[in-house]
Amino acid sequence: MATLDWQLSRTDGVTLVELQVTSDATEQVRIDSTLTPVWPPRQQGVPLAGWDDGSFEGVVREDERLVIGYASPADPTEPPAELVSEESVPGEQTPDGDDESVTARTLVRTLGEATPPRDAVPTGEGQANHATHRPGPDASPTARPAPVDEWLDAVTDRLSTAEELASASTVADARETVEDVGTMANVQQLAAEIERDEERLRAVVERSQRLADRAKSVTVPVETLARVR
Amino acid sequence: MILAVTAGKGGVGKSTIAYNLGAELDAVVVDGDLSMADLPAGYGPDLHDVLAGRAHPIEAVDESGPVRLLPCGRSLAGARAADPTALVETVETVAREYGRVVIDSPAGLCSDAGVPILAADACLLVARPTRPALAGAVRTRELARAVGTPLSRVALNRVDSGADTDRIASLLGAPVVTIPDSPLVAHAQTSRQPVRSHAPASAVATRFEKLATGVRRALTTGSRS
Repeated sequence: MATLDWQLSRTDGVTLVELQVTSDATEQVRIDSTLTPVWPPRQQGVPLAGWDDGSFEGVVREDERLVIGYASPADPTEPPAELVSEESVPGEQTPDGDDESVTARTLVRTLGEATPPRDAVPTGEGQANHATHRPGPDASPTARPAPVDEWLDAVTDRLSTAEELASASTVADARETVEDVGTMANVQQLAAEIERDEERLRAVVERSQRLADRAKSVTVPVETLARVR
Repeated sequence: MILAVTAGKGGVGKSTIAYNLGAELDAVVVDGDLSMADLPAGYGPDLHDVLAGRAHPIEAVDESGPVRLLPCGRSLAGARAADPTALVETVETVAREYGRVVIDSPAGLCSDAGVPILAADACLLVARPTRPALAGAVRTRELARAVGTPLSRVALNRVDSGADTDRIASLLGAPVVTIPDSPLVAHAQTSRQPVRSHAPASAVATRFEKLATGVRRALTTGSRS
């Protein structure tokens, strides 16, 4: 019969949970966290073997405690987790049960994460700055009229906010970014605005292309007109 | 049927071969290079969106070109938000809907190269007859072996003449199909066409056809065992 023991600590808005499972016989256990969401320990960005959403499955041996640690943004509650199912393990089974088969998760854990590091990803703020650093109205021959620039800057700001919302990878991040925007109603409004932005931008591209083609093909006969006059 | 087109080293012509093989096999070509996409992208949702749970795999398939593509985004933020492990389910969904999928996988030995191989029924190794390309191919071969995905064919790309294909076949443990170094391949690419539509009667088109036949045969034999 397995028993669960725990320790909780709270630092910087995060609850750290330490669980110890002991048993007088080797058995398979499943532990469901009562704190949600669960931030499981990760290796190469992927939850460690045994973790699946808010629950952990593993084997506790009679002569060896099973120690599990995880974090959650939720307030500490007692008990932080529950032992859900317990079965005795027939024969020699591997603790994770999946040592034989290769899964995408085990591949990422062993071969290493290939996603770009967080620091390499431009933040919404950086993109907005980048936009404002574009050449001013008289800086180059390709400068755009001021109202166009103002409009494009507004679109850039909206896109930066949207990208920030989209890239939130944890619930806490998502909450924070939604709070930055305001309420969920603001988020919905932003989504609608971006849809409109896309349509308008594409329409502008088409019209600009047609006008640019016309501009290219027409030549104002300045000299001839001057002579005629 | 899911085929991963892979290589030990970049720049050997993986994407070109994946695209042309997609045309030969009437497959959806998935641009599986999450951080350095190569195949042309449209305006719709892409693989980053799918792997981040923002789009369904089927709606991301672009059917507008001569070869059906599931393009990949090019932004770092998109690559970061994508869950690489979701690729397996994504390509399986596309294969259920369209039948055949060719994944253009990234080179190397990181997980972004390993997961497409895992997701596939078989892989195709692209190499050039050069020492660094073959050394890389041997490593990727080992990766495929560790993952448990069979190697269907080796495509030896841009071969002028006289490559020791027998030796390469025994080194990598799969039949070798050579693809000649032909300017038609680049011309076809510039005109956004597979070689089979751009120059159907050319020697290089028949080699792509042979490669596709080989892959198809290997997969049917594989499924029987």
